[in-house]
Amino acid sequence: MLATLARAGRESFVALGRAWSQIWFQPRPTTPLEIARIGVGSAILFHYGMATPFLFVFWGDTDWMPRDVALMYLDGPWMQSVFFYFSAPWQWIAFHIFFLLCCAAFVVGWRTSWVKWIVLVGHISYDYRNLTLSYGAESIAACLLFILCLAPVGRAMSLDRVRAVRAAKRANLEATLPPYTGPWAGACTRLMQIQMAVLFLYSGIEKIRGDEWWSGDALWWAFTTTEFYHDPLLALFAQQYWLVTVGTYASIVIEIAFPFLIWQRATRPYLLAAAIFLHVSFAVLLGLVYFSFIMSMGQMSFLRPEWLHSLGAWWKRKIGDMEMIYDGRCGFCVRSMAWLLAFDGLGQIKIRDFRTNPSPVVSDAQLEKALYLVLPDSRALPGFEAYRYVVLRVPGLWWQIPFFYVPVLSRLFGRPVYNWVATHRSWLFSFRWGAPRSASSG
Amino acid sequence: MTAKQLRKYIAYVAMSLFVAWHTLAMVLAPNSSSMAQSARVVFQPYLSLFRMDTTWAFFAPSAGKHSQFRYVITDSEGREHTFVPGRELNWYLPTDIWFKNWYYTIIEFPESFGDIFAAWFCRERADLKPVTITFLAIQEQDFWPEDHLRGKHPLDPEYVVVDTLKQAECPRSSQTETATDDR
Repeated sequence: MLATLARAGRESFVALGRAWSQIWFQPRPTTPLEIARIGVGSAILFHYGMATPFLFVFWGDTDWMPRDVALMYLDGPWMQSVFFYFSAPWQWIAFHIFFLLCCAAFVVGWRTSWVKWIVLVGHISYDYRNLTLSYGAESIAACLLFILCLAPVGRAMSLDRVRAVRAAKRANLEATLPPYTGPWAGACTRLMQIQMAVLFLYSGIEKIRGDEWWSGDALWWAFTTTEFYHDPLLALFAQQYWLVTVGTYASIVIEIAFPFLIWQRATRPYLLAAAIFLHVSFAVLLGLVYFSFIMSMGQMSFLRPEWLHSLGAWWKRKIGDMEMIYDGRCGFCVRSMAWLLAFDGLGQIKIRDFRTNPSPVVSDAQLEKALYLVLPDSRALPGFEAYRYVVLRVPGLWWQIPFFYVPVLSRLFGRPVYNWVATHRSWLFSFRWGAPRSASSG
Repeated sequence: MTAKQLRKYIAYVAMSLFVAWHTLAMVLAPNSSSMAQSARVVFQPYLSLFRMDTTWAFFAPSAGKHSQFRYVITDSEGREHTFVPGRELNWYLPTDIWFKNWYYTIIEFPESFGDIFAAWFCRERADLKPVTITFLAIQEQDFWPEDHLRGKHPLDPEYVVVDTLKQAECPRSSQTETATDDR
């Protein structure tokens, strides 16, 4: 009897443990968190970048919020700000610049493992230094940032990932680095999902406490306030008041339904779309851009990795194969290819070293002069045109679009610069590595 | 159990404890029930340190009826000039919410911040040779669709209550600056 009970207890315990692991510690990629990182980081960078002219007005000791008054708003020693420890103006300026640089590094994923903590400390410091400026968006940003700090972000869609892939490709251009997945990434994704679900739930509960929300008038009152006054919309609402009632109840239904229905496979896409629609509406109609953007980025944690995988596969199919043919004997060319391929997260570019594997489409004589890109219809694009084609079609290289697509100027300067680099590639290689210089091979 | 297995087990337990702790903190933070309040004693330092202590009450429980901040400057010749600083802001930029939050701070605590803002606004309007400044809160009242259809605005005099928050002398410096400019 006792043995049976013990076995049943042990089996229950094991089943419970398995369920716990399945909820929290399923190995997952960091991609949804990386999207949240880029989004939250960009919003914070823009937000505090715009605050630069008001650094001393908002957070200094001499203008609107003297230090002793700011301290009156704080409740206990746990509400800390680095600004309380500054005394000279240059310290404010230096910290602000350092913080903005860290925000930029956080967005691009450079040295993510430590800059994320600076971003968190900075954000909380600005917030606690002057709590009268703070509103919901600052708290949401802090909550999401903290989870991102705990998470192993920077393992995808980041310069850190680019550097790791590049290091592998430096040794062998064909080498691939498997995408990162881990149980802790799964746990942090789950924490962010719970954070968003809790936020929606309490937001909904607080609303149904108010008479305006029960009566279906809340939307009308929101748009008649001086802060969110919207004349064209009020004109429409005044004539079609049922829109106000529907909008008011829809907001509550979405907020209450979200924490319950977002977990199911079948309902998640609809709830996610509804929540994003709600926040896009807030951004456009109420001007709450920062708040809405941060909220939408938190909701990115609900993106299923398989959705992102399908999206990547669809993009790859749409664009078609691209084969880059390079000179494997030229160190500079190999290094450049390693850089380029490191940004190709979807693996869209195939490579061919014409020295060991001649191309049936482009002759060796042509390849001596420039790198070529061969497309599925056998079109071959040389040098600058090859790069120009690729940067528009490889998402990891989209940041280069402004350089390659400035009307007239890009081609005017791009082609000569490429041709010069191509003809001096051996010299550039020797210059880089300190090897004896040789005549250019172009 | 090998040392590697033990390390893995300890890491698993530590991660489990942390996610349980953080989840509880997220759920407790906006909860105002008495049970949650008693548990906050343990969680408060954690919630405060990482800025997680919030209610998530957006547009709730009430969505409307705000106040508009205005100030009136009386110049050296006794003329009054009314300003609505919120109107000068761009809705889609962060500055909009920062400045509006500041104006709400004056509305809420005119005695604490009145003098700071008197100095600020008098300096900003130094060209008017300001002598005194008066802060006003224009409190919104009921405004229904019928009112809008009659061509009215929520800030028309019949729909608002004007509350004088504070009157202050402009600091001498803002007047002197103008005098210097005039010369």
